[in-house]
Amino acid sequence: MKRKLICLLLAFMLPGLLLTGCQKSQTTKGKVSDGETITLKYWTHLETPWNVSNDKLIAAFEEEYPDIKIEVEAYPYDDFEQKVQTSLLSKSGGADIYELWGGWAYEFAPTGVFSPVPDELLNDLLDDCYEPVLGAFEHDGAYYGVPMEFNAEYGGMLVNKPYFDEHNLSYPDTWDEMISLATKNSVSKGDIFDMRGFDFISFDSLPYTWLSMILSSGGTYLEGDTFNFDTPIAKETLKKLVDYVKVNKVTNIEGLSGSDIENFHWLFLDQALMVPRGIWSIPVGEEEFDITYGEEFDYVPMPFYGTEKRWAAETGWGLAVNSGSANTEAAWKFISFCLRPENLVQLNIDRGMIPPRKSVAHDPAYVKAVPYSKPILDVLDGASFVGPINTDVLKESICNMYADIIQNDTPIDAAVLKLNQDIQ
Amino acid sequence: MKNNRFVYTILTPIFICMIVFTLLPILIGLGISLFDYNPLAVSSPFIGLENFKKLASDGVFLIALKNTVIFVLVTVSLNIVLALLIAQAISSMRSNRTRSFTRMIFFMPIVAPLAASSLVWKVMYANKYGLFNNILGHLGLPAHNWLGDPAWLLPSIILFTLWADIGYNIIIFSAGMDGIPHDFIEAAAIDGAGPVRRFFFITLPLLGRTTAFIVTMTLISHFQMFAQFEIMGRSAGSPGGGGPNNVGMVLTLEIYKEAFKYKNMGYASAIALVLFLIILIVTVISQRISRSDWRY
Repeated sequence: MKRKLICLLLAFMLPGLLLTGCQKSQTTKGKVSDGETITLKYWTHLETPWNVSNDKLIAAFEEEYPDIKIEVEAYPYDDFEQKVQTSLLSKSGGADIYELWGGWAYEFAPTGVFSPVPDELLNDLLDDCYEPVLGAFEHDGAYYGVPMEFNAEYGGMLVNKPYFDEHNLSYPDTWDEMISLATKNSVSKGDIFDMRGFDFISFDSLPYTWLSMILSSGGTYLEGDTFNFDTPIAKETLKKLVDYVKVNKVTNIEGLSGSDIENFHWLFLDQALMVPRGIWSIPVGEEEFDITYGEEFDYVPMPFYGTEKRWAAETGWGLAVNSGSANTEAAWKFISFCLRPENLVQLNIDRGMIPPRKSVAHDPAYVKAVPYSKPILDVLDGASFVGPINTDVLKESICNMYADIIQNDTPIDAAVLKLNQDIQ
Repeated sequence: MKNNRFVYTILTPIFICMIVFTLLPILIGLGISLFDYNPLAVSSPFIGLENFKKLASDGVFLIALKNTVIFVLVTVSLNIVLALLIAQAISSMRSNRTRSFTRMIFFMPIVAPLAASSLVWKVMYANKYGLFNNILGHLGLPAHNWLGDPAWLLPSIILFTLWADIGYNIIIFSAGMDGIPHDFIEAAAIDGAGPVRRFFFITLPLLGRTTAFIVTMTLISHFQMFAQFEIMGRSAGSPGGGGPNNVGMVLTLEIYKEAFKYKNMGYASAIALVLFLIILIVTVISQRISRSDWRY
């Protein structure tokens, strides 16, 4: 009898325990810890320069606002979007303040999960922010997040300084010079490269190089909010990019095909001559490869393909406030603090990024502290918002199309038509 | 009667768990597949069988379906044949210690998480500094872009999966072989049957139930393989695996990408349902084929 009772007890405890695990979690958003202090939860992605700069900024904020505490939780980049998405959609748990990639914000903005930017702050930003960084946070005239940086993936390129010096070469001033240099100096045996002359193959570089080639040629790929690549300029520029791999052999498509080594890594490994990347790659190179800007590599202006200095710009990391937070006012107070020019300058110096505000980007303190930003700063006014789309989807579709052309000899006409379908 | 009541009472909570955690999710998944369900969208209209109709014209789904079928057919066949042969070789070893050691060697990859070993193999497959291309270089053979060339991606993943997964089946086959009464083998030997004939006419038929179990479990697990396709088919900085232009896409990865990258939960549920039906049908067929009505 006693054994039966124990069995019964255990049998009912099992589902009981399992179902307990399914209950809605207690939200920790907008916690008021001791009746006076508000604790805000802030989710960010894991990346040393970002996390260090956040810690500095939070310490300064907490000193100025002793009644507000910021609790930071950092997650690996690969899991971060999904984590943010799940927490926002389940409307439980999660954070008060989210770090958000502009390219994702486009999908979240219409759902009402974020609190609109307060008018006072918005008016300030609308006058002073570059269009590409703010565009992704907009929906139906309202804005649901603010940019903290301008992540330009075009406009400048990393160059292998020792190679240029040893071979008595000058940095290219025109597109044709750049391709000619790349072609002459590329060294490969079959599919294995010892020197990539111009490695534009990566999930960021390829799409932004192509889009910027279209824009600088006076073309466009956007008709209203619709993407259209079935245009003579889009096809002509795509053909050039295909030829650079198949005919000029300045690189291969390893960067799109299962490699853990990105194009800028090759340059830091002394196996690439020129690589178009954002300036964020510079602190990464200095930290991970123990090489020095100005000695082992340089960052120089990237020539434009066409005659116009127009280019397509990535969005960048921004901040947004959970509309379900009990302390949206305190959360916006923190964000406003981050956006103060003196704080934004320091934040972007620490991260090695371009500031999203015009007034801050050209601040002499910033220019002095981040000298390699100059090539991008000089062309910032020519940047266009990439378009209303999740940028991951756009980049993946373009890279898939490119791999298809290179590997299967798919005609360019058919490839761009399929691309149009894929991203609608 | 009293005993029955006790059994029902004991089993009821377990059935509740099964309904809540197994049956309900399947039914909800079936339900979602009938809606244009995007958790970020303001509305999720009922669209009937539209998601299923879309499958027929979705190029990525068709690639994923083809790759899944090829991967499962090749890997499961090779896995079972090789596991059987290796298990037989191990059983033929006289020393218990050697047998245990050899089994342990083959079982070691099972202990490592598939994601971790996928990462290690990805490094070994690397174009310039990878182990395989270095070996080919030393032999004077041209290097391959193992994970980047559409012709090599799937074979590379199949090779890795065999290495990673074969140990489990070797252990089960070995256990099955150890369970066969030695009298049968001895009798066949006295009748003049050599090792090959003994294997095909005694060992193999008597391993019928073990083989049926292994075939079913390996089929199910291989249809659900995910980690190696996500990790080996992903390039640095890219939003997901599947290889260049989706040449290494499989159904599990397609479900994941549709659901969590593109937020098409309804469509992802439709693909999941197709995968569920494929596994169900293949499992039933394999059970029917391997049914045996004898025992020793």
